[in-house]
Amino acid sequence: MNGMVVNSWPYVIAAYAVTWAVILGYTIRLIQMTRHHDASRSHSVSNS
Amino acid sequence: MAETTVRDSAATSRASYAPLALSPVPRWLTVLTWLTPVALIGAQAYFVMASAPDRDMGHLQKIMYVHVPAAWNAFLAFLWVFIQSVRYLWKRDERADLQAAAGAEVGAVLTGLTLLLGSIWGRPTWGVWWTWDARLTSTAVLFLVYVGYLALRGLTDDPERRARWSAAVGILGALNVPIVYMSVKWWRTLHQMQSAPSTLDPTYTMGLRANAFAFLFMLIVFVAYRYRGLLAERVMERQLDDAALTRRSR
Amino acid sequence: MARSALMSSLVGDWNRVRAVAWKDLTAERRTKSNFNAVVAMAGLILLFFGFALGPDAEGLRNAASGVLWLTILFSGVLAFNRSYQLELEAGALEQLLLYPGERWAIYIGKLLANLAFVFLVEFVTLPLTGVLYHVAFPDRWLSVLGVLILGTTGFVSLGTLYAAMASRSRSREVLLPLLLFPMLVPVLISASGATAALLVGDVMGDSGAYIRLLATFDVIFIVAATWAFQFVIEG
Repeated sequence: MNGMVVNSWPYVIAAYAVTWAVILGYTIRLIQMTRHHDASRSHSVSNS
Repeated sequence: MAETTVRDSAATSRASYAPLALSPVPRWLTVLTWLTPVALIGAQAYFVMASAPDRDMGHLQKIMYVHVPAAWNAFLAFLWVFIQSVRYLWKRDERADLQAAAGAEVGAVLTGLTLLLGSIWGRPTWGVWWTWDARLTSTAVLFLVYVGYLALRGLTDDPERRARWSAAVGILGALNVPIVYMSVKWWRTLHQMQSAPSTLDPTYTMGLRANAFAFLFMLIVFVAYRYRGLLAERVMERQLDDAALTRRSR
Repeated sequence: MARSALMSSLVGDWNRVRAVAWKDLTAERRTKSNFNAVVAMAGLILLFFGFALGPDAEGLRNAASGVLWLTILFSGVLAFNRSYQLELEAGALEQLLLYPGERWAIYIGKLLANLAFVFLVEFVTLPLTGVLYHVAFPDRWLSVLGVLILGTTGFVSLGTLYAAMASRSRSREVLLPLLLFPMLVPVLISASGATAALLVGDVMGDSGAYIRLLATFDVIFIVAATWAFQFVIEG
């Protein structure tokens, strides 16, 4: 129990920062992927 | 020799030439897509503010609001992989394979998040960034199993073969989870017991539940969009294959 | 009537198992270079763990069981891909699949051949570990041998399955351990735990729990791998 007295807020803030970084990071990846597919699909349609 | 070729093409058509098409985004998904950030922000904002500091853990308990839901939903994602893998081997529906792939990727992301959060929580609580306790260690092993699953998918080119192989790996990996957990638990209990503090005040339980649902919405949305992405890729690959085939036969 | 048909089909399967195992072992015996390389690698790993852990005899003795199992895993994993690589050359695998009979017979045959191979490697590794890590000959050597057989069986049963995939994908050298080792955590924990307990005479009596876990793992994963192999090998 050596860590008990320390200020716990930095850890809480770090935890939520990490959570949102992961959520937003994966969201951005999915958005980029969707855009990429939409773009290439319309491209292939116009091509044919 | 000619007979082999015929057999092979028959196998290919059976497994991978069922029609695939990307339908427009269904209404429920659109609704859920907008609901998810509201639920996530709402649940976290309310319960982080509302919950009183825990007697033993202080504010650190607030980390549990995201750590535990992330872990639960990671397990749900891997359950999804297992179900879809079985479905693939049974029905040979390529969509089941793509669903499993989507589930594995999102599950790996959530497992990684769970491990990071566990580490951040463990440092002030136990005084160490890592402890060899059963849950933590088996989560890490689970993470590695699915990293291997995704690596196998990335390194296999033939889609039909990739689907069969990853289904086998997904099923065996899921089978291994309880065994890993049990073995690490025995291994630990033979050395020392790790006591996990459990205090259940009603706000805490409510906060866990609210966040668990918000994460569940997020899981569904992520898997659905990842699945659509994989499906779009496959549809495009098919079109290219077909185009190449017609060109050659002409 | 039905009974004798079942018997004859089982006999046929068993002949197939034996044929595959014998074919693999013969190929191995003819070249031998693979076996020698794997044994040399095992010796190298044992030596290197010794260097890394330091010359203190007491510390080495305590680490011996863990080092032994890591050596078995790290050297054994080199052998599995090889068992399929020979098949991939000249399309031998396709021909093997064209023969009538059950697919699982191929898996069991390969499993037996790989088991024989790893046991032979262990035949060298085990005494070498004893010498290098100052382990006295254990009183319960039969139990140690049992743990060795159970642990190796679990290891090889999964290794044979995963190598069927890894050997046919890109960058198989990395993929096989990446797929295989996370699955082997229970084997590593229980096998090295049981060995460690038995080497010091099992005063606490915890080897039994580990051995039961090891046996459970073996049964589950031999059944699962035999079942999964038919899907892996399909084409």
